[in-house]
Amino acid sequence: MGTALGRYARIFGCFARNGLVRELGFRVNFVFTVISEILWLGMMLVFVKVIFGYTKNVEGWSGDEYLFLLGTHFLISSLFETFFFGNLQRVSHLIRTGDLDFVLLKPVSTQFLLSLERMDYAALANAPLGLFLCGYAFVQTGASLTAANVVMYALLVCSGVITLYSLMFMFSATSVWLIRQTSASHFWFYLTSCSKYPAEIYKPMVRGVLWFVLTFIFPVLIVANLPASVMVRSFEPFLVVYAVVSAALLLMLSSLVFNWALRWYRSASS
Amino acid sequence: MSVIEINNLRKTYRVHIKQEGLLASLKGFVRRKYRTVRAVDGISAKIEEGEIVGFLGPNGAGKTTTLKMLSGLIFPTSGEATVLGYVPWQRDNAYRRQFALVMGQKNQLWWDLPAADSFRLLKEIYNIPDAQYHHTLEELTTLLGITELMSQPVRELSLGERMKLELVAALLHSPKVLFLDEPTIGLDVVSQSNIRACLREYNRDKNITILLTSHYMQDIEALCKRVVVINHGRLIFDGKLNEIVERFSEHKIIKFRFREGDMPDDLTPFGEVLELAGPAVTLRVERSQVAELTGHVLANHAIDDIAIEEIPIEEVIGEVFNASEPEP
Repeated sequence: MGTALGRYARIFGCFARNGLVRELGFRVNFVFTVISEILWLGMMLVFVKVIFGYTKNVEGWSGDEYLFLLGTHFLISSLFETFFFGNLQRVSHLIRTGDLDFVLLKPVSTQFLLSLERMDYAALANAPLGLFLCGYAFVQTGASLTAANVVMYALLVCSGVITLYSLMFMFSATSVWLIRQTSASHFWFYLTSCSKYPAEIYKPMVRGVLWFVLTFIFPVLIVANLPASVMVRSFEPFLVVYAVVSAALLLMLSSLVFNWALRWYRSASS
Repeated sequence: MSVIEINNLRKTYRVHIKQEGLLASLKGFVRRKYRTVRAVDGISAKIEEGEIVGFLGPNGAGKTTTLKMLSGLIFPTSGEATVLGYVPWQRDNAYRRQFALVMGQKNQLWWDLPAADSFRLLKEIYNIPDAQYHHTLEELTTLLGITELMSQPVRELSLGERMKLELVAALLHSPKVLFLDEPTIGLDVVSQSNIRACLREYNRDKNITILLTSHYMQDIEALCKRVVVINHGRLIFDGKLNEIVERFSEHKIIKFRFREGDMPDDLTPFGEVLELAGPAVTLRVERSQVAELTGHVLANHAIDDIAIEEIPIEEVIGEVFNASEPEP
């Protein structure tokens, strides 16, 4: 067991190294990615400033609390994009062109190879931006910092990343049947865009159905909301346990769905 | 037990029939029509350790589909197969450590990186000890004459150079079984013969079992004692390469060089005239007639030279493919 873990760690080290070598070959691309992410964050901040210029709170969230949520969202997206997003986007391409073949041949978990092969270093540059925003907002809210909060926060950020990953991995697996699934990746984009707003704003919509779906079926609302709440608002034990358990279950489910989907893999071309 | 055992293996696909034209496409969007394609239709064979077997058939015969099932990439519709005692599509890690698949049309090396980086990754994936890794790498790159290509990004290399590196990548973990799907496709003559020489030497040294598809008869003739011919997913021949000629070719080629002025005016009763150049004649003659005809010609004409040859193997294979077309 220990040796297997060590081997996976070494493979990941190789991925990280190769990814860096590759990234350094394309300097300009790296710079542009970082600049566009900073602009995107800037636009979000302007949006927040405008909204909270008209009102003191939105469904109970103050401006500073919301900034903390936004920072958390940024941090989680950044981690998700660094490790998984590009890889998972590539999955449907690999399935359509038949290049999944080489991944399937390797004596290592196919899901592991697929999910981590290429690291996106440009996206990693967003993590400090998100953390910085969180730090600023946290001081502004005047909430108290405890070790328990921080541990809880880290745990929830991780389970948030895992939740996003598992959902998108399952979406990607559907390309075995759909072959071309641009519609699915759009669906993914809209789904995750919801997670950067306070969960409470969805409760009045469609009699709470939307909130229910986004919390319990495609649980994207808990991804950033829960860790942010734990730090600057209130602690809801039920939701915290739910977040961790659902992340673990989704991860297992994604693996089952993927392995099942592979029975239909056709290995296109030649 | 044989290294590879295939028993009544089948793979059928349901493909969506796409018709030409916008209207037909619109109809197809609403209600799809499907037809069933039998890519592999009940193939059985046994391959022993150390054999190099050539897998022949026209495009779409089911060769690649069979290799993909044996590699565990796709699931069969029915039938069984074991390789080294494993069922390939269960994708056991122990099995995946012991075989390799090289496809002439697909590459596994990272496009933007030097091959050396991809090799290092494979070293970790296959958990190859340092000493063994360096030894194998050295051995293979020397065999193929590509030591200096290792540190150049793969995208800057020629097709032939890339293919050689792909072969190195596949053999790094010293597999016991190697599947090759058109490894020499699109390569120049020199690269082709390099790759053939490497495979032959490697097979002799390591006793590796190789199953190979190719459209180049030179590949098959140089490497394979045994061939398996399939068409439309069915096996039509399994045996020695030269037996194909004996079994399927109903003709031989006879070349006569007549002495000046002693050439018969009409050659057609002898057989089909393929070439006529002065006193030299090339005839295609039915196998059963060969002895009688040569006896007759030698008895009645003055002959400077005579040669009896088999029909070139490409042509025989072409005949076999045509003969195995199903009745319409």
